[in-house]
Amino acid sequence: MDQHFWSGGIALDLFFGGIAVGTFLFAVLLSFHRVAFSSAARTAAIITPLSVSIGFVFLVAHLGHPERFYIVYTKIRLTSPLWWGAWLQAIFFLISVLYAWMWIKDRAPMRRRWLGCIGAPIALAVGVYHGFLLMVFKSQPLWNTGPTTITAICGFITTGIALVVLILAILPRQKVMLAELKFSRNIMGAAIVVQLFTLVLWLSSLFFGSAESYAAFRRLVEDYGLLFWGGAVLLGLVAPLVLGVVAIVREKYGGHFSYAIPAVTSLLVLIGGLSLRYVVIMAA
Amino acid sequence: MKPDQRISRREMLGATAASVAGGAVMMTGCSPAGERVASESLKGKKFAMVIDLQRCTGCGGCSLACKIENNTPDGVFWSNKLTQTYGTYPNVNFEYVPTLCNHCESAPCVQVCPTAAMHCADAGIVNHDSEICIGCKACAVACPYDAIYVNDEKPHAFWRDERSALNGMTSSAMEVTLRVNGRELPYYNGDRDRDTPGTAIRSKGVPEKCNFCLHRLRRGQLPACVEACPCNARIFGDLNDPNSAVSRLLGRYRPSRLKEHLGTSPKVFYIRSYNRGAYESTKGTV
Repeated sequence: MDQHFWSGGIALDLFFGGIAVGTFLFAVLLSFHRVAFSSAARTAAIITPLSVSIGFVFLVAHLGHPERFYIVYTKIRLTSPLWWGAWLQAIFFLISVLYAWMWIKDRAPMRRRWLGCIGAPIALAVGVYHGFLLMVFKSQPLWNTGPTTITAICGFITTGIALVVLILAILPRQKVMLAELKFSRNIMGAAIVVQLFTLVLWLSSLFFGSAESYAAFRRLVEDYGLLFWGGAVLLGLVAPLVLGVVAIVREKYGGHFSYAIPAVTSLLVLIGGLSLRYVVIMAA
Repeated sequence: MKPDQRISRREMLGATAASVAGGAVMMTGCSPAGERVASESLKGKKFAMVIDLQRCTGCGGCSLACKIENNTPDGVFWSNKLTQTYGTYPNVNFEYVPTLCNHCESAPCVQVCPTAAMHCADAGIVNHDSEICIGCKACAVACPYDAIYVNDEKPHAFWRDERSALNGMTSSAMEVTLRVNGRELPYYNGDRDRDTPGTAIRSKGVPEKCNFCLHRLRRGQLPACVEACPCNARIFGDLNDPNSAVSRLLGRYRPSRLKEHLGTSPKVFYIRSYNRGAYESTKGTV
């Protein structure tokens, strides 16, 4: 009897939870930028609690007994990453709601900045948790490698920024400064490059690891090859990077800025991110 | 026959299995199943199982006895097996290794459980409390031995089927179930329900696994698979007792355990393997 215990629901939880991590960290980064990129920062801050909530809904829907979820908060289970995750996500959700509210009200920028500083390590911890959650399973050689966590965090940050870029690109132009869209796009490009490196690192650890790791690698790149190479790598990373570089070079040589390119590239990054989460869960 | 004198299908199946086992014992000349567990408190004990692969004939009696005892759903085998055929004709080998939950000392399923539903019970037995389980399935994902099953649907769907083979002439499975107060026959085990309430039939949305027949141990009986083994290939006892059968066997033979490299310290030991290590890299075929 071959059961697939975790499937699409968990992939969606990781996807939306990851976006929230990326958007929160990006909002905090923008709040420290010397130019006030308030549209981008506000957008990122508002997305965060929404994305956490959507991820949480998928997580709870996946449970066999969702009505008992509260039990997690009545126990102390220090060895369980899921227990840590439940607490971290609850704290992160509360901070993200408060942070988003402060951006919507647009008052007390110093207090908002302080809250961002407190929330950033929590957001990072939630990201680490999502990667760590997979890494701790010794029974799953696809996940049980050192680079799993760092690859996951980079993926979360990339998709989070991509969603901000997508929204900025489709918002009415009078509401968004061109400079903040360009800045966000460039940061997304840098995140894609870092993610490509971490992905190579993760694949290498599988390829050069134990026989079980190698078997997991083969399953990922062969059985789920189309989704992994086509969806996650080509559509989600390589194509957006190439498109972005072409656009930047064109602008450098006098071409006009196209709003369509960041919209398309960020959409591709999001599709690729979802493909990667799905394939990583299903191929294990 | 009066109603209280009726023989249930469970009892009949149990008697059949016992007869088959008894017959096999007589044919093979093996002694009856081993060491009894004292009925007093299980505290201070550390139960383990030794499986003698040269005694095991692969009859599957253990799996049958487990199903009868524990009411496991279709396709779910707490007592399971690994089989492997290798070589080229005429030099072909077939191996049969019985498997079950390893009740690991460092159990990954217990470590990851966020509510302590999967826990270490008396005598180091890894047990599951379905009342506080949220159904996150992390235990099943964490188990390297594929020994944990998840009931995505309510088990025993067959016994809720209202269709009959011949309309108006034969009973539907649902009618049979209703006549026995909703107990899913033929496996419903009232003894199990009495000793460990609510565990005779596991519900939808929670995992289930072998617990060394904890309900039987509490009554001073052996696990059903041990009791049913016609060749005495399964030896069960207390690792903390140096004079127990398991301790003596582990001292006499060099045992192996499944996937030892993962550091889970399983408490199911295999001795006298024909080809030790052949299953080291096996995954997903349990």
